[in-house]
Amino acid sequence: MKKSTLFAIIVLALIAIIALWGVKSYNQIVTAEENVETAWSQVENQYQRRSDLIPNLVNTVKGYAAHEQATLEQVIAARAQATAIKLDATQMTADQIQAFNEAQGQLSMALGRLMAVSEAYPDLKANQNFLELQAQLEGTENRITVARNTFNEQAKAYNVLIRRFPKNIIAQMFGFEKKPYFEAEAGAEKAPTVEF
Amino acid sequence: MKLKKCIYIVIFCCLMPAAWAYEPENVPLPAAGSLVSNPDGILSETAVAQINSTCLSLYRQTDVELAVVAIQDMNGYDAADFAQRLFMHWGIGDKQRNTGVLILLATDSRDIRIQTGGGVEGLLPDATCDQILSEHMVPYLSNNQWDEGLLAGAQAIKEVLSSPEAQAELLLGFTPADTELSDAICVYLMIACCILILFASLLYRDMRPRVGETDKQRMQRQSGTWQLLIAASIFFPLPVCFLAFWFYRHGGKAISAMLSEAAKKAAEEERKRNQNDPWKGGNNGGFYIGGFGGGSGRSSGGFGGGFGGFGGGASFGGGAGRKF
Repeated sequence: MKKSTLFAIIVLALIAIIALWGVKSYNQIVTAEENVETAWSQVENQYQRRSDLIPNLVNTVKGYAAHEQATLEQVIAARAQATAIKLDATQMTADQIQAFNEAQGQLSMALGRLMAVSEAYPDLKANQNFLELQAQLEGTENRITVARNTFNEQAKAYNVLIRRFPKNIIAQMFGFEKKPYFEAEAGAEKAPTVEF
Repeated sequence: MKLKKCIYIVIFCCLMPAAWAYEPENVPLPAAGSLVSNPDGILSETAVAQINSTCLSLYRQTDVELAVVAIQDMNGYDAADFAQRLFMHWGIGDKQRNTGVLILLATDSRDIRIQTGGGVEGLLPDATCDQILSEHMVPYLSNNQWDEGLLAGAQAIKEVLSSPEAQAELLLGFTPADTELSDAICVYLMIACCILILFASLLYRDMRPRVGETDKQRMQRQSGTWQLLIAASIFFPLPVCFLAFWFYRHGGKAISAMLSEAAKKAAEEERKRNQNDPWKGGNNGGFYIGGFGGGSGRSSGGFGGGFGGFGGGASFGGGAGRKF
Protein backbone atom coordinates (compact mmCIF):
# COMPACT_ATOMS: atom_id res chain seq x y z
CA MET A 1 0.00 0.00 0.00
CA LYS A 2 1.33 3.44 -0.88
CA LYS A 3 2.38 5.62 2.02
CA SER A 4 0.26 8.55 1.00
CA THR A 5 -2.81 6.35 0.71
CA LEU A 6 -2.26 4.96 4.16
CA PHE A 7 -1.83 8.44 5.55
CA ALA A 8 -5.03 9.58 3.86
CA ILE A 9 -6.95 6.67 5.35
CA ILE A 10 -5.66 7.34 8.85
CA VAL A 11 -6.43 11.05 8.67
CA LEU A 12 -9.87 10.34 7.28
CA ALA A 13 -10.64 7.81 9.97
CA LEU A 14 -9.36 10.11 12.71
CA ILE A 15 -11.44 13.01 11.47
CA ALA A 16 -14.49 10.79 11.28
CA ILE A 17 -13.97 9.49 14.80
CA ILE A 18 -13.34 12.94 16.32
CA ALA A 19 -16.35 14.41 14.53
CA LEU A 20 -18.57 11.59 15.70
CA TRP A 21 -17.29 11.90 19.26
CA GLY A 22 -17.91 15.66 19.22
CA VAL A 23 -21.44 15.27 17.91
CA LYS A 24 -22.16 12.54 20.42
CA SER A 25 -20.80 14.54 23.37
CA TYR A 26 -22.66 17.67 22.37
CA ASN A 27 -25.91 15.76 22.06
CA GLN A 28 -25.33 14.08 25.37
CA ILE A 29 -24.87 17.42 27.11
CA VAL A 30 -27.95 18.88 25.43
CA THR A 31 -30.00 15.88 26.53
CA ALA A 32 -28.70 16.20 30.09
CA GLU A 33 -29.54 19.90 30.15
CA GLU A 34 -32.98 19.18 28.77
CA ASN A 35 -33.47 16.62 31.55
CA VAL A 36 -32.57 19.21 34.18
CA GLU A 37 -35.11 21.61 32.71
CA THR A 38 -37.81 18.96 32.60
CA ALA A 39 -37.05 18.02 36.20
CA TRP A 40 -37.31 21.67 37.19
CA SER A 41 -40.66 22.09 35.51
CA GLN A 42 -41.82 19.04 37.47
CA VAL A 43 -40.73 20.75 40.69
CA GLU A 44 -42.65 23.88 39.77
CA ASN A 45 -45.69 21.85 38.72
CA GLN A 46 -45.84 20.06 42.04
CA TYR A 47 -45.49 23.27 44.04
CA GLN A 48 -48.17 24.80 41.82
CA ARG A 49 -50.38 21.83 42.51
CA ARG A 50 -49.97 22.46 46.21
CA SER A 51 -50.82 26.12 45.97
CA ASP A 52 -53.88 25.22 43.87
CA LEU A 53 -55.14 23.09 46.73
CA ILE A 54 -54.84 25.87 49.27
CA PRO A 55 -57.89 28.11 48.52
CA ASN A 56 -60.17 25.10 48.77
CA LEU A 57 -58.50 23.95 51.96
CA VAL A 58 -58.68 27.38 53.54
CA ASN A 59 -62.38 27.69 52.70
CA THR A 60 -63.16 24.29 54.16
CA VAL A 61 -61.29 25.02 57.37
CA LYS A 62 -62.89 28.44 57.62
CA GLY A 63 -66.35 26.90 57.75
CA TYR A 64 -65.49 24.92 60.88
CA ALA A 65 -62.76 26.87 62.58
CA ALA A 66 -63.52 30.53 62.18
CA HIS A 67 -61.41 31.35 65.25
CA GLU A 68 -58.22 30.43 63.47
CA GLN A 69 -58.26 33.56 61.36
CA ALA A 70 -54.59 34.32 62.09
CA THR A 71 -53.38 30.90 60.95
CA LEU A 72 -55.49 31.04 57.81
CA GLU A 73 -54.18 34.45 56.93
CA GLN A 74 -50.62 33.29 57.37
CA VAL A 75 -51.24 30.49 54.91
CA ILE A 76 -52.73 32.86 52.37
CA ALA A 77 -49.88 35.34 52.75
CA ALA A 78 -47.24 32.62 52.44
CA ARG A 79 -48.97 31.27 49.36
CA ALA A 80 -49.00 34.68 47.72
CA GLN A 81 -45.28 35.07 48.38
CA ALA A 82 -44.39 31.61 47.16
CA THR A 83 -46.33 31.84 43.91
CA ALA A 84 -44.74 35.22 43.17
CA ILE A 85 -41.37 33.55 42.57
CA LYS A 86 -40.99 31.95 39.17
CA LEU A 87 -37.66 30.70 37.92
CA ASP A 88 -36.38 30.16 34.42
CA ALA A 89 -34.69 26.79 34.34
CA THR A 90 -32.36 27.78 31.50
CA GLN A 91 -30.60 30.44 33.54
CA MET A 92 -31.13 30.14 37.23
CA THR A 93 -28.62 30.90 39.93
CA ALA A 94 -27.98 29.42 43.36
CA ASP A 95 -29.42 32.56 44.97
CA GLN A 96 -32.64 32.33 43.02
CA ILE A 97 -33.16 28.72 43.91
CA GLN A 98 -32.44 29.57 47.54
CA ALA A 99 -35.10 32.31 47.53
CA PHE A 100 -37.59 29.96 45.89
CA ASN A 101 -36.83 27.31 48.46
CA GLU A 102 -37.27 29.69 51.37
CA ALA A 103 -40.61 31.03 50.15
CA GLN A 104 -41.94 27.51 49.63
CA GLY A 105 -40.55 26.51 53.01
CA GLN A 106 -42.52 29.31 54.66
CA LEU A 107 -45.66 28.01 52.99
CA SER A 108 -44.90 24.46 54.17
CA MET A 109 -44.61 25.71 57.73
CA ALA A 110 -47.82 27.74 57.55
CA LEU A 111 -49.62 24.69 56.15
CA GLY A 112 -48.17 22.50 58.86
CA ARG A 113 -49.54 24.88 61.46
CA LEU A 114 -52.95 24.87 59.81
CA MET A 115 -53.12 21.09 59.74
CA ALA A 116 -52.03 20.90 63.37
CA VAL A 117 -54.66 23.43 64.42
CA SER A 118 -57.39 21.56 62.56
CA GLU A 119 -56.76 18.54 64.80
CA ALA A 120 -58.72 20.37 67.47
CA TYR A 121 -61.96 20.38 65.44
CA PRO A 122 -63.64 16.94 65.34
CA ASP A 123 -66.38 18.13 62.97
CA LEU A 124 -63.79 19.34 60.52
CA LYS A 125 -61.87 16.10 60.73
CA ALA A 126 -65.01 14.15 59.91
CA ASN A 127 -65.76 16.28 56.85
CA GLN A 128 -65.42 14.25 53.64
CA ASN A 129 -64.16 17.20 51.67
CA PHE A 130 -61.50 17.93 54.26
CA LEU A 131 -60.37 14.30 54.32
CA GLU A 132 -59.95 14.32 50.57
CA LEU A 133 -58.04 17.57 50.64
CA GLN A 134 -55.83 16.20 53.37
CA ALA A 135 -55.04 13.10 51.31
CA GLN A 136 -54.31 15.26 48.29
CA LEU A 137 -52.09 17.59 50.25
CA GLU A 138 -50.16 14.66 51.67
CA GLY A 139 -49.76 13.18 48.20
CA THR A 140 -48.61 16.52 46.89
CA GLU A 141 -45.97 16.83 49.59
CA ASN A 142 -44.69 13.39 48.58
CA ARG A 143 -44.65 14.43 44.93
CA ILE A 144 -42.72 17.57 45.83
CA THR A 145 -40.10 15.48 47.61
CA VAL A 146 -39.79 13.15 44.64
CA ALA A 147 -39.61 16.01 42.15
CA ARG A 148 -36.94 17.80 44.18
CA ASN A 149 -34.87 14.65 44.48
CA THR A 150 -35.16 13.99 40.76
CA PHE A 151 -34.15 17.56 39.99
CA ASN A 152 -31.12 17.33 42.26
CA GLU A 153 -30.05 14.06 40.68
CA GLN A 154 -30.42 15.42 37.17
CA ALA A 155 -28.60 18.65 37.99
CA LYS A 156 -25.75 16.74 39.60
CA ALA A 157 -25.49 14.36 36.67
CA TYR A 158 -25.40 17.32 34.29
CA ASN A 159 -22.76 19.14 36.34
CA VAL A 160 -20.57 16.07 36.45
CA LEU A 161 -20.99 15.61 32.72
CA ILE A 162 -19.92 19.13 31.76
CA ARG A 163 -17.03 19.32 34.20
CA ARG A 164 -15.30 16.04 33.53
CA PHE A 165 -12.46 15.81 31.05
CA PRO A 166 -12.62 15.59 28.03
CA LYS A 167 -16.27 16.62 27.67
CA ASN A 168 -15.56 19.89 29.49
CA ILE A 169 -13.87 21.04 26.27
CA ILE A 170 -17.08 20.64 24.32
CA ALA A 171 -19.06 22.18 27.21
CA GLN A 172 -16.80 25.23 27.28
CA MET A 173 -16.83 25.58 23.51
CA PHE A 174 -20.62 25.82 23.49
CA GLY A 175 -20.97 27.71 26.79
CA PHE A 176 -22.80 25.14 28.94
CA GLU A 177 -22.88 26.30 32.55
CA LYS A 178 -23.17 24.65 35.91
CA LYS A 179 -26.69 24.29 37.36
CA PRO A 180 -27.57 25.04 40.97
CA TYR A 181 -29.55 22.58 43.02
CA PHE A 182 -31.48 22.40 46.30
CA GLU A 183 -29.40 22.36 49.44
CA ALA A 184 -30.61 19.81 51.96
CA GLU A 185 -30.82 21.95 55.11
CA ALA A 186 -33.30 24.46 53.69
CA GLY A 187 -36.53 25.18 55.57
CA ALA A 188 -38.85 23.06 53.45
CA GLU A 189 -37.15 19.84 54.48
CA LYS A 190 -37.52 20.38 58.21
CA ALA A 191 -40.70 19.27 59.85
CA PRO A 192 -42.53 22.40 60.96
CA THR A 193 -42.44 23.00 64.69
CA VAL A 194 -45.86 23.66 66.08
CA GLU A 195 -46.53 25.90 69.02
CA PHE A 196 -49.88 26.22 70.71
CA MET B 1 -30.32 -32.61 78.69
CA LYS B 2 -30.72 -28.88 79.06
CA LEU B 3 -27.73 -28.19 76.81
CA LYS B 4 -29.15 -30.48 74.14
CA LYS B 5 -32.42 -28.58 74.26
CA CYS B 6 -30.55 -25.31 73.83
CA ILE B 7 -28.70 -26.65 70.81
CA TYR B 8 -31.97 -27.79 69.27
CA ILE B 9 -33.44 -24.36 69.80
CA VAL B 10 -30.42 -22.71 68.24
CA ILE B 11 -30.57 -25.03 65.23
CA PHE B 12 -34.31 -24.44 64.92
CA CYS B 13 -33.77 -20.68 64.99
CA CYS B 14 -31.13 -20.95 62.27
CA LEU B 15 -33.44 -22.95 60.04
CA MET B 16 -36.38 -20.65 60.51
CA PRO B 17 -36.91 -18.35 57.57
CA ALA B 18 -35.46 -15.20 59.05
CA ALA B 19 -37.53 -12.09 58.48
CA TRP B 20 -35.28 -9.78 56.55
CA ALA B 21 -35.10 -6.05 57.10
CA TYR B 22 -35.43 -4.96 53.50
CA GLU B 23 -33.91 -2.10 51.63
CA PRO B 24 -36.03 -0.95 48.68
CA GLU B 25 -33.37 -2.27 46.32
CA ASN B 26 -33.27 -5.82 47.64
CA VAL B 27 -36.91 -6.76 47.95
CA PRO B 28 -37.17 -10.03 45.97
CA LEU B 29 -38.91 -9.66 42.62
CA PRO B 30 -42.13 -11.63 42.16
CA ALA B 31 -41.69 -15.08 40.65
CA ALA B 32 -41.80 -15.29 36.85
CA GLY B 33 -45.27 -14.60 35.50
CA SER B 34 -46.44 -13.19 38.82
CA LEU B 35 -46.97 -9.71 40.22
CA VAL B 36 -47.05 -10.59 43.90
CA SER B 37 -43.94 -10.58 46.07
CA ASN B 38 -44.44 -12.34 49.38
CA PRO B 39 -40.94 -13.18 50.60
CA ASP B 40 -41.76 -13.38 54.31
CA GLY B 41 -44.74 -15.65 53.83
CA ILE B 42 -47.17 -13.10 55.20
CA LEU B 43 -49.86 -14.03 52.69
CA SER B 44 -51.21 -17.54 52.29
CA GLU B 45 -50.63 -19.36 49.02
CA THR B 46 -54.27 -19.25 48.02
CA ALA B 47 -54.35 -15.51 48.67
CA VAL B 48 -51.23 -15.00 46.53
CA ALA B 49 -52.87 -16.93 43.71
CA GLN B 50 -56.11 -14.96 44.02
CA ILE B 51 -54.37 -11.59 44.16
CA ASN B 52 -52.15 -12.55 41.27
CA SER B 53 -55.05 -13.55 39.07
CA THR B 54 -56.72 -10.21 39.87
CA CYS B 55 -53.52 -8.39 38.86
CA LEU B 56 -53.12 -10.44 35.70
CA SER B 57 -56.66 -9.89 34.53
CA LEU B 58 -56.20 -6.16 35.12
CA TYR B 59 -52.96 -6.32 33.16
CA ARG B 60 -54.63 -8.05 30.21
CA GLN B 61 -57.52 -5.62 30.14
CA THR B 62 -55.70 -2.37 30.60
CA ASP B 63 -51.93 -3.00 30.40
CA VAL B 64 -51.63 -1.62 33.94
CA GLU B 65 -49.04 -3.41 36.05
CA LEU B 66 -50.36 -3.74 39.60
CA ALA B 67 -47.63 -5.09 41.87
CA VAL B 68 -48.38 -6.28 45.40
CA VAL B 69 -45.63 -6.54 47.99
CA ALA B 70 -46.03 -7.83 51.53
CA ILE B 71 -42.99 -7.67 53.80
CA GLN B 72 -42.40 -7.48 57.52
CA ASP B 73 -39.72 -4.89 58.02
CA MET B 74 -38.87 -1.77 56.00
CA ASN B 75 -35.70 -1.15 57.96
CA GLY B 76 -36.93 2.11 59.39
CA TYR B 77 -37.85 3.71 56.04
CA ASP B 78 -40.78 6.02 55.68
CA ALA B 79 -43.46 4.10 53.76
CA ALA B 80 -43.79 6.75 51.04
CA ASP B 81 -40.04 6.83 50.50
CA PHE B 82 -39.71 3.05 50.50
CA ALA B 83 -42.61 2.61 48.07
CA GLN B 84 -41.26 5.29 45.75
CA ARG B 85 -37.79 3.77 45.63
CA LEU B 86 -39.10 0.26 45.18
CA PHE B 87 -41.41 1.48 42.42
CA MET B 88 -38.55 3.13 40.56
CA HIS B 89 -36.16 0.25 41.17
CA TRP B 90 -38.52 -2.27 39.66
CA GLY B 91 -39.85 0.11 37.04
CA ILE B 92 -43.48 -0.87 37.49
CA GLY B 93 -45.67 -0.01 34.51
CA ASP B 94 -45.18 0.73 30.86
CA LYS B 95 -42.12 2.85 30.19
CA GLN B 96 -43.80 5.48 28.02
CA ARG B 97 -47.06 5.82 29.88
CA ASN B 98 -46.01 4.98 33.45
CA THR B 99 -49.06 2.82 34.02
CA GLY B 100 -48.06 1.05 37.19
CA VAL B 101 -49.49 0.71 40.70
CA LEU B 102 -47.79 -0.69 43.80
CA ILE B 103 -49.50 -1.90 46.95
CA LEU B 104 -46.98 -2.13 49.76
CA LEU B 105 -47.70 -3.73 53.13
CA ALA B 106 -45.18 -3.67 55.97
CA THR B 107 -46.51 -5.59 58.95
CA ASP B 108 -43.96 -4.58 61.60
CA SER B 109 -44.44 -0.86 61.27
CA ARG B 110 -48.12 -1.44 60.35
CA ASP B 111 -47.89 0.58 57.15
CA ILE B 112 -50.01 0.20 54.07
CA ARG B 113 -49.41 2.27 50.98
CA ILE B 114 -50.77 2.52 47.44
CA GLN B 115 -48.19 4.11 45.17
CA THR B 116 -49.40 5.24 41.76
CA GLY B 117 -47.41 5.64 38.56
CA GLY B 118 -47.57 8.90 36.63
CA GLY B 119 -50.01 7.52 34.05
CA VAL B 120 -52.72 6.35 36.46
CA GLU B 121 -52.71 9.38 38.75
CA GLY B 122 -55.67 10.78 36.86
CA LEU B 123 -57.80 7.68 37.44
CA LEU B 124 -56.45 6.96 40.91
CA PRO B 125 -55.98 10.36 42.53
CA ASP B 126 -54.61 10.40 46.04
CA ALA B 127 -58.03 10.93 47.56
CA THR B 128 -59.34 7.80 45.79
CA CYS B 129 -56.36 5.80 47.01
CA ASP B 130 -56.99 7.04 50.50
CA GLN B 131 -60.63 6.05 50.22
CA ILE B 132 -59.71 2.56 49.01
CA LEU B 133 -57.36 2.22 51.95
CA SER B 134 -59.83 3.32 54.56
CA GLU B 135 -62.90 1.57 53.13
CA HIS B 136 -61.54 -1.69 51.75
CA MET B 137 -58.22 -2.44 53.33
CA VAL B 138 -57.71 -0.94 56.78
CA PRO B 139 -60.77 -2.68 58.32
CA TYR B 140 -59.15 -6.06 57.53
CA LEU B 141 -55.57 -5.05 58.13
CA SER B 142 -56.21 -3.66 61.58
CA ASN B 143 -57.39 -7.19 62.50
CA ASN B 144 -54.21 -8.67 60.99
CA GLN B 145 -56.23 -10.21 58.14
CA TRP B 146 -53.51 -9.64 55.55
CA ASP B 147 -54.96 -11.96 52.87
CA GLU B 148 -58.38 -10.37 52.87
CA GLY B 149 -57.05 -6.82 53.12
CA LEU B 150 -54.69 -7.01 50.17
CA LEU B 151 -57.11 -8.96 47.99
CA ALA B 152 -59.84 -6.40 48.66
CA GLY B 153 -57.41 -3.61 47.83
CA ALA B 154 -56.32 -5.20 44.56
CA GLN B 155 -59.93 -5.81 43.57
CA ALA B 156 -60.92 -2.24 44.42
CA ILE B 157 -58.10 -0.86 42.28
CA LYS B 158 -59.03 -3.22 39.47
CA GLU B 159 -62.61 -2.05 39.65
CA VAL B 160 -61.58 1.60 39.34
CA LEU B 161 -59.18 1.00 36.46
CA SER B 162 -61.19 -1.45 34.40
CA SER B 163 -64.36 0.57 33.86
CA PRO B 164 -64.86 1.15 30.12
CA GLU B 165 -63.99 4.87 30.32
CA ALA B 166 -60.90 4.13 32.36
CA GLN B 167 -59.78 1.50 29.85
CA ALA B 168 -60.25 3.93 27.00
CA GLU B 169 -58.09 6.47 28.82
CA LEU B 170 -55.40 3.97 29.73
CA LEU B 171 -55.06 2.54 26.25
CA LEU B 172 -55.09 5.96 24.59
CA GLY B 173 -51.32 6.24 24.42
CA PHE B 174 -50.71 2.61 23.56
CA THR B 175 -48.78 2.97 20.34
CA PRO B 176 -45.91 0.90 19.00
CA ALA B 177 -42.44 2.28 19.58
CA ASP B 178 -41.50 5.05 17.19
CA THR B 179 -39.32 4.14 14.23
CA GLU B 180 -37.54 7.43 13.71
CA LEU B 181 -34.00 7.33 12.42
CA SER B 182 -31.64 7.99 15.26
CA ASP B 183 -29.08 10.80 15.26
CA ALA B 184 -26.30 8.29 14.80
CA ILE B 185 -27.71 7.06 11.53
CA CYS B 186 -28.17 10.60 10.24
CA VAL B 187 -24.55 11.47 10.99
CA TYR B 188 -23.45 8.22 9.43
CA LEU B 189 -25.46 8.93 6.30
CA MET B 190 -23.96 12.40 6.02
CA ILE B 191 -20.43 11.11 6.26
CA ALA B 192 -21.20 8.21 3.95
CA CYS B 193 -22.41 10.65 1.30
CA CYS B 194 -19.14 12.59 1.49
CA ILE B 195 -17.18 9.37 1.19
CA LEU B 196 -19.31 8.29 -1.72
CA ILE B 197 -18.58 11.49 -3.60
CA LEU B 198 -14.88 11.25 -2.79
CA PHE B 199 -14.62 7.71 -4.07
CA ALA B 200 -16.75 8.33 -7.08
CA SER B 201 -14.27 10.99 -8.18
CA LEU B 202 -11.30 8.78 -7.36
CA LEU B 203 -12.69 5.87 -9.27
CA TYR B 204 -13.64 8.01 -12.19
CA ARG B 205 -10.06 9.24 -12.43
CA ASP B 206 -8.36 5.90 -11.97
CA MET B 207 -10.57 3.33 -13.54
CA ARG B 208 -10.75 4.60 -17.09
CA PRO B 209 -8.40 2.59 -19.27
CA ARG B 210 -5.68 4.73 -20.81
CA VAL B 211 -4.68 4.58 -24.41
CA GLY B 212 -1.89 2.08 -25.20
CA GLU B 213 -1.87 0.49 -21.80
CA THR B 214 -1.71 -3.26 -21.14
CA ASP B 215 -4.05 -4.93 -18.67
CA LYS B 216 -1.15 -5.59 -16.33
CA GLN B 217 -0.04 -1.98 -16.31
CA ARG B 218 -3.53 -0.80 -15.59
CA MET B 219 -4.01 -3.24 -12.75
CA GLN B 220 -0.80 -2.01 -11.18
CA ARG B 221 -1.90 1.55 -11.52
CA GLN B 222 -5.26 0.76 -9.98
CA SER B 223 -4.10 -1.37 -7.08
CA GLY B 224 -3.69 1.64 -4.73
CA THR B 225 -7.25 2.69 -5.38
CA TRP B 226 -8.49 -0.79 -4.68
CA GLN B 227 -6.72 -0.88 -1.35
CA LEU B 228 -8.27 2.45 -0.42
CA LEU B 229 -11.65 1.13 -1.46
CA ILE B 230 -11.35 -2.00 0.63
CA ALA B 231 -10.22 -0.01 3.65
CA ALA B 232 -13.13 2.35 3.21
CA SER B 233 -15.51 -0.55 2.85
CA ILE B 234 -14.62 -1.55 6.38
CA PHE B 235 -15.88 1.79 7.70
CA PHE B 236 -18.58 2.53 5.20
CA PRO B 237 -19.70 -0.70 3.58
CA LEU B 238 -22.94 0.44 2.04
CA PRO B 239 -21.80 3.28 -0.23
CA VAL B 240 -18.78 1.26 -1.31
CA CYS B 241 -20.95 -1.72 -2.06
CA PHE B 242 -23.17 0.52 -4.10
CA LEU B 243 -20.20 1.83 -6.06
CA ALA B 244 -18.78 -1.63 -6.51
CA PHE B 245 -22.12 -2.86 -7.75
CA TRP B 246 -22.45 0.07 -10.09
CA PHE B 247 -19.05 -0.56 -11.60
CA TYR B 248 -19.72 -4.23 -11.83
CA ARG B 249 -22.77 -3.51 -13.97
CA HIS B 250 -21.40 -0.62 -15.99
CA GLY B 251 -17.60 -0.89 -15.86
CA GLY B 252 -15.39 -2.45 -18.51
CA LYS B 253 -15.11 -6.19 -18.79
CA ALA B 254 -11.42 -6.10 -17.97
CA ILE B 255 -11.95 -4.97 -14.43
CA SER B 256 -15.00 -7.07 -13.79
CA ALA B 257 -12.99 -10.00 -12.43
CA MET B 258 -11.25 -7.85 -9.86
CA LEU B 259 -14.45 -6.04 -9.09
CA SER B 260 -16.39 -9.17 -8.47
CA GLU B 261 -13.81 -10.19 -5.95
CA ALA B 262 -14.00 -6.83 -4.23
CA ALA B 263 -17.76 -6.93 -4.33
CA LYS B 264 -17.69 -10.36 -2.77
CA LYS B 265 -15.48 -9.05 0.00
CA ALA B 266 -17.63 -6.01 0.57
CA ALA B 267 -20.77 -8.10 0.50
CA GLU B 268 -19.27 -10.41 3.08
CA GLU B 269 -18.41 -7.36 5.13
CA GLU B 270 -21.89 -6.06 4.84
CA ARG B 271 -23.45 -9.37 5.66
CA LYS B 272 -21.47 -9.39 8.89
CA ARG B 273 -22.53 -5.84 9.69
CA ASN B 274 -26.13 -6.64 8.95
CA GLN B 275 -26.27 -8.97 11.88
CA ASN B 276 -26.57 -5.92 14.07
CA ASP B 277 -27.34 -3.43 11.43
CA PRO B 278 -28.50 0.05 12.42
CA TRP B 279 -30.67 0.12 9.30
CA LYS B 280 -32.76 -2.79 10.28
CA GLY B 281 -32.36 -3.03 14.02
CA GLY B 282 -35.16 -0.63 14.98
CA ASN B 283 -34.79 0.54 18.56
CA ASN B 284 -31.73 -1.39 19.52
CA GLY B 285 -29.41 -0.05 16.87
CA GLY B 286 -25.77 -0.74 17.33
CA PHE B 287 -23.36 1.57 15.60
CA TYR B 288 -19.86 0.65 14.90
CA ILE B 289 -17.73 3.75 15.25
CA GLY B 290 -17.60 5.41 18.63
CA GLY B 291 -20.40 3.18 19.81
CA PHE B 292 -23.59 5.20 20.17
CA GLY B 293 -25.31 3.40 23.01
CA GLY B 294 -28.53 1.89 21.77
CA GLY B 295 -32.00 2.21 23.28
CA SER B 296 -33.83 -0.38 25.22
CA GLY B 297 -36.56 -2.85 24.54
CA ARG B 298 -39.59 -3.50 26.64
CA SER B 299 -40.13 -7.19 27.00
CA SER B 300 -43.64 -6.80 25.80
CA GLY B 301 -45.91 -9.09 27.69
CA GLY B 302 -48.54 -7.74 25.33
CA PHE B 303 -52.21 -8.42 25.52
CA GLY B 304 -53.64 -11.80 26.19
CA GLY B 305 -50.31 -13.30 27.15
CA GLY B 306 -48.79 -13.89 30.54
CA PHE B 307 -46.85 -11.29 32.46
CA GLY B 308 -43.35 -10.82 31.11
CA GLY B 309 -41.72 -8.59 33.72
CA PHE B 310 -42.04 -4.96 34.67
CA GLY B 311 -41.84 -2.46 31.82
CA GLY B 312 -39.76 0.34 33.37
CA GLY B 313 -42.48 2.80 34.43
CA ALA B 314 -42.01 5.66 36.85
CA SER B 315 -43.93 7.11 39.76
CA PHE B 316 -43.81 10.76 40.68
CA GLY B 317 -44.74 10.15 44.28
CA GLY B 318 -48.51 9.87 43.92
CA GLY B 319 -50.68 7.67 46.07
CA ALA B 320 -51.73 7.43 49.67
CA GLY B 321 -50.52 5.71 52.78
CA ARG B 322 -51.97 4.86 56.19
CA LYS B 323 -50.94 3.44 59.48
CA PHE B 324 -53.43 0.88 60.68
